[in-house]
Amino acid sequence: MNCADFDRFAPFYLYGILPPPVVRATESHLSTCARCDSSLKPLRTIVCREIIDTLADYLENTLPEAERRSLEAHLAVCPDCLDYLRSYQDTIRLTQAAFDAGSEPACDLPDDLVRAVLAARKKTSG
Amino acid sequence: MRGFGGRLLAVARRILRNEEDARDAVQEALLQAFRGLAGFAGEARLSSWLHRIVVNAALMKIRSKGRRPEESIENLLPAYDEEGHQTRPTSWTDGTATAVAERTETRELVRRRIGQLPEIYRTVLVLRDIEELDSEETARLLEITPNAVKIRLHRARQALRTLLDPDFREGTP
Repeated sequence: MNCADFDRFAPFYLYGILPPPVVRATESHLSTCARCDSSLKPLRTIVCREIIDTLADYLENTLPEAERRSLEAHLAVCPDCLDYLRSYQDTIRLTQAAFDAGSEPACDLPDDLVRAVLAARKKTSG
Repeated sequence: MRGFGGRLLAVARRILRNEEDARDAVQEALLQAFRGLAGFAGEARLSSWLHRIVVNAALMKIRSKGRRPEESIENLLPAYDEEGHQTRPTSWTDGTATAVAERTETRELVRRRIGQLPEIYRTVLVLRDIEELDSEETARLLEITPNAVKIRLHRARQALRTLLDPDFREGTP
């Protein structure tokens, strides 16, 4: 196993869902590679609460690279958090769609004032 | 012309739940705009300038009523067990929300649910996700820090997600 393989398998390793031969290969690699061993630490401790707390930053692409990788690794193996992310994104879409132009109840308006503002604006700019 | 003024009233309605307050805010904003026209530098579009004045007037209206005790939304936030895993995870039917988002009844439902959010969360949600102001501008208008905006927005979205959950979770007809 090389470091690229390890990056791919790490989250599955942590969740104990790899077949035994791959677990052995992963542990053998970890025993000789300080880089991969240290990269595993944040993955070991990250929990759903931390993932959900950082979803807004994740969607705005403001998470530091290491946190983003940890988050995506967690999402790859945690269907609850993946579902939460999707419904969180749906909530934002629904919010925006609820107020799209023309979707709100019709309203009358203080047209005289709008008209006066626009007319005065024309005078000041003209 | 009618559509333009209507949009201004719509902005105020999103921030203020009370129709009379929204109308007052628009009236006040337009009077302010009329008085302040000489100061309109012309860098922004007139519509953006008026929009901003309406947002300000609506927020002033909230402030003029005095600060209410902050309502808790803890019961609308995700719950976790001791190890930090969700205790009541739910799954929304894939694609349903997007498919029905444009329907009139969905829009009304979502507007009602947004209306159920406590004021400090609803205001941030409206300014950031609907009016699409950035965190800095929202923070300036609300006189809070950009970090507080970020935290409130995330909590507002989480609370709204919980309020919408019964209507969108898997198994909902």
